[in-house]
Amino acid sequence: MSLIVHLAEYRKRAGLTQADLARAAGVSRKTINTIENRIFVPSTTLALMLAQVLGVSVHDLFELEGP
Amino acid sequence: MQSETISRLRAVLLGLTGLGCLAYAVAALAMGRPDPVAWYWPSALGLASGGAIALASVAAGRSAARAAADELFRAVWGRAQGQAYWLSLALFAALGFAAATGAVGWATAYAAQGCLMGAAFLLLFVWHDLRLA
Repeated sequence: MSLIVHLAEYRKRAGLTQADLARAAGVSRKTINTIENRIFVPSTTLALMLAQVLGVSVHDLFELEGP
Repeated sequence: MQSETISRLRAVLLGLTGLGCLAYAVAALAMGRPDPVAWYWPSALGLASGGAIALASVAAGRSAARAAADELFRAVWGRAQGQAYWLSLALFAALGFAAATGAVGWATAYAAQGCLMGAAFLLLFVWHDLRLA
């Protein structure tokens, strides 16, 4: 089962750059970039923080690809 | 100063320190003596790098410093630690064998092992960090 990441989509919809989102979430731009490119899977805390910054549910940002 | 600047500076300084440790160990083994240059060079290099990174973090401010040490950084740091642990054990066995068979003196083997352990961790960290850049 793999993770589908919609972070870039919601970030762009909110009119934010990776650097803007990183600043708002208190992480580095590289962290946002690696999450968007599915290189790094964030902790629950960071996933919730990103969802909060973008004003969406964490389920909107991440979902599991079906079996 | 932004978190990106701290990350870049950290990669450069830790990379240089790792290369310094590697060079010391290689020189020790090649020359067959534990002090190919002054013995304090590897630790002085490490302390200077640590000090420069700390100063840069203070100058950048709390939020930038925190962002530069976020969970991706901790994950990369942890991965490098794990790999360096096993590499160090392998180096320990190799240098222990070399010293036991008389190929290298014990004092030289200890000096090389200490520096290679540091170099392994630092260079693995920089390698993983740069791959994600």
